[in-house]
Amino acid sequence: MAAQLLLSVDGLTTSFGRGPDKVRAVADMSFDLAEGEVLAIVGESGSGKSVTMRSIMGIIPMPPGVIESGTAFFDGADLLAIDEENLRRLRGKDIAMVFQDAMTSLNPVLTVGRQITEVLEEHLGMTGKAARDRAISLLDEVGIPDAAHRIDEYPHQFSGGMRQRAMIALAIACGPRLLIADEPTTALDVTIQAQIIDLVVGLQTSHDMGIVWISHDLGVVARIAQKVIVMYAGRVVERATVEDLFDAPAHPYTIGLLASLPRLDQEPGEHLDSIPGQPPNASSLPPGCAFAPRCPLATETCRVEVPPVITVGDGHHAACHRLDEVRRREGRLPWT
Amino acid sequence: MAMTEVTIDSPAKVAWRRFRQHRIAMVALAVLGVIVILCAFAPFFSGYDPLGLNMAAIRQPPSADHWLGTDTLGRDIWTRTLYGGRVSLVIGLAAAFLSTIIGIVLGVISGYFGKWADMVVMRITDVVMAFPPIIIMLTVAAFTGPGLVNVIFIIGGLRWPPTARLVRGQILQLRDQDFVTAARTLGLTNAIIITRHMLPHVVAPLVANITFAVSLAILTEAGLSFLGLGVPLPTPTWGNMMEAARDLRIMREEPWMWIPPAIFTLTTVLCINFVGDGLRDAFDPQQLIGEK
Repeated sequence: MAAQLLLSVDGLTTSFGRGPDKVRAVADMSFDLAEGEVLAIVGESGSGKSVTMRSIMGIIPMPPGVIESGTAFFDGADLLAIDEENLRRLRGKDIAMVFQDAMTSLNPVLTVGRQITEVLEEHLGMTGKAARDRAISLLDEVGIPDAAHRIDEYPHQFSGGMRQRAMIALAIACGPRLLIADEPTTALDVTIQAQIIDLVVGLQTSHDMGIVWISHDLGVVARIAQKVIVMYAGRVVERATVEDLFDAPAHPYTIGLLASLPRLDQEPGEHLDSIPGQPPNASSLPPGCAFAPRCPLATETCRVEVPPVITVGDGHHAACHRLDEVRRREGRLPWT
Repeated sequence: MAMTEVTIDSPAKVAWRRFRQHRIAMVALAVLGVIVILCAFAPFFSGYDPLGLNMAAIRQPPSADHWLGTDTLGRDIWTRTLYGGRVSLVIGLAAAFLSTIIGIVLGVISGYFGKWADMVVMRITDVVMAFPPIIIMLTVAAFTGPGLVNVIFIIGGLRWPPTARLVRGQILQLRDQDFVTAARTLGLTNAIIITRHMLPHVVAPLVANITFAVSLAILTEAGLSFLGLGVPLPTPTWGNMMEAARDLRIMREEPWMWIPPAIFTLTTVLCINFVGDGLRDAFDPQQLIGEK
């Protein structure tokens, strides 16, 4: 696997507000993405997965947001340091983003076709009929029936799934090498979800894009990703290949997440193991491991010291003081 | 697949349909149309020269020859009212246009770019709004001297702050909308995001604002001319015709000299305001949602 590195993020820290109200949304986030690779970032709401990718895209509202430190190299350029104009040229052309809610992410007063052609115009200099034809073939490619007619419709005339397809068409219009998908299936029905996932997987293969897929749904992640990063309270807790993560999760939080998934081989009536407690408030994080208050294995060290990232195996890392204990118990934790 | 043909009207079409149901606004629009036609085609409705003196017929009350009488120099009042309307309407439209353009540009700059640009623009706005407008206008008019173009620039240059604030507020709201964020991730330029993605959303609240700006400009022109600082004589405007009423004797005993321009001003301003009300209701997004 000697694929070229596409995106390399190192030490990204993003916070909101200042002074005593400062909230650190992402702390010391690092990851690499190879060309054509699919990485999933998993975590619950507020874990910093969206903020990470929005920081890289330069769409964190500033103020109140501040990118305190870190680099994000794409194609030899640090996305966190280059000027607005150069970043603009990359966005939409080499890096594109698909959002959760296609209804609000498409402009209601412009036809779907216009929104696609303006991107083609901006980055590829296509105009008039050439741009229109390209837009129709893009809509066709993402599976919108009767694209030649629907191109002149407004977003509100599209169904939820169709809108998400239109957004994907918009994102891949200029053949990006990196696609950031921010929970693109969360707002959709399960059946439509599956279609959108299949569509993106298909496009990923045919266009050879690297994808960062943000999700809180491990089921979705298993279907699409090769590598997974699990985030908790703004920090990476575990980083692994999909196989390793599901077969041999190392961090207690990941183990808890997997245990809380419903399984088909479960006896009816058997209850799901949920992680007790609530995710911490980002403005008052515990001094040590953020997961310590909910962790059955937590010790005094966990409560006062931020755990280091420890290599568990090849490409498998976890940030936990108690990895030995997890291993001794073979991943079975006493949740009660 | 059987498809039923569904036609969706553009927002402008929907607004027009709703505007037509606004009875007062429709009547006002018709009256306004009559006034504009009378003024624009004044030569067709009057045989006199608005500047033509006639010493043989001064201070005449309304008659068959002079429908609305004559002034102290024997000029036909009806004729002067129509020609004066041309000037007043042009000033109203031009000044409102100017103040709207200034307001949009400054509002966009401060709302979209924020930070120090916002600081600078909003402080300038505060300063302009802090002075009583009529005092500044008098001062400026005293320096530049009276004249049509000067009046347009004075009114337009001082009436933009409400527009700038309105646009700024709208842009601030729009800036955080998902589709604007999405447009940025697609690498569109600021110019395109502003003009194509944001300004169309500002049009609705702005339309009503523009109509009110026109009526306010007409009134302001009348006020300035009444004080002798507007468009100088002998060119007639509704404002400087009403100046005649400063003479107490004329005001009491020869009311035909000032009542016609006063009625025209009043009617025009009222009608524009009614039309503005109608437009505001027609474009109201809250009501648009409720409609089938």
